[in-house]
Amino acid sequence: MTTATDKNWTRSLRKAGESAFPPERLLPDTQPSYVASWIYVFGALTMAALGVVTATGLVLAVMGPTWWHHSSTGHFINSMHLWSVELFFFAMVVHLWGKFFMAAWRGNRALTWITGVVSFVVSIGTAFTGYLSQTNFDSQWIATQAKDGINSTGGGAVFNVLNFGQMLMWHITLLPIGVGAIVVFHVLLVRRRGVVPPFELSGAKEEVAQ
Amino acid sequence: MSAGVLEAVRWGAVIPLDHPNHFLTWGWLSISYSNLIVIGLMVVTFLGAILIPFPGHKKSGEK
Repeated sequence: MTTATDKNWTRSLRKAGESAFPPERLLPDTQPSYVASWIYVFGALTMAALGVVTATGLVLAVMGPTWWHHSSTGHFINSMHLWSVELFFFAMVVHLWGKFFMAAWRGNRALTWITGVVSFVVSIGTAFTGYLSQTNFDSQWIATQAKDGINSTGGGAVFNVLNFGQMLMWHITLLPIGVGAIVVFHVLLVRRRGVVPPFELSGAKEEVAQ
Repeated sequence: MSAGVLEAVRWGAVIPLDHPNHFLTWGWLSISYSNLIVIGLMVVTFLGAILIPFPGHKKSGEK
């Protein structure tokens, strides 16, 4: 006989969460010994850069898109926003190369790999709409160049790169929400499946057997 | 100092960037030197991340 509490969705969700992410798995204090390599640092570096991108982006959103043209503080914050994006992509590419050569999709980690790829693609879109939000001749030039490419796909009907308001809204709301959600999902999958182990050395099993 | 450098100093830029980019053109390949330098730095960083030992970690068998 089922009771009312068995059908309680919050209880079911809590149980599923506790089962998938027990606290020691969600916030581990140890990692396998093979993680002690610089190549494993770049995922965390990417997230650190994303934190600076988000913080400086929030300040720019408060002060407005033209603030950085007439304020030295605004120029400084805008530069921090730009250079943290540069570091974000730099670290992300090194992280991607490392995971590619580790074949990090092994061991039921395909979704972890796919969410990483999707976050990379969405991040590029976010960066491109950032170029269009500079409110200067550079952004106007980029928009006029980009419109032909977008229009050739038919996407220009709903995604007009010459519409500054639309591009700014994509840059500061839709795409950051997308990047944030995918990155959180990606990190949860890493916690769930664990860090991919290195390839076994060829002949290692035979040596152990002897 | 040239007017371009003075302008760059006034705006706080270490390297004057207010000029057209320089490109490496080799057959079908055309890439700006700035992009090429960044890609080179990423390759160097990647190799360093693989080859440079992580501090405080001993390989198995080391005492």
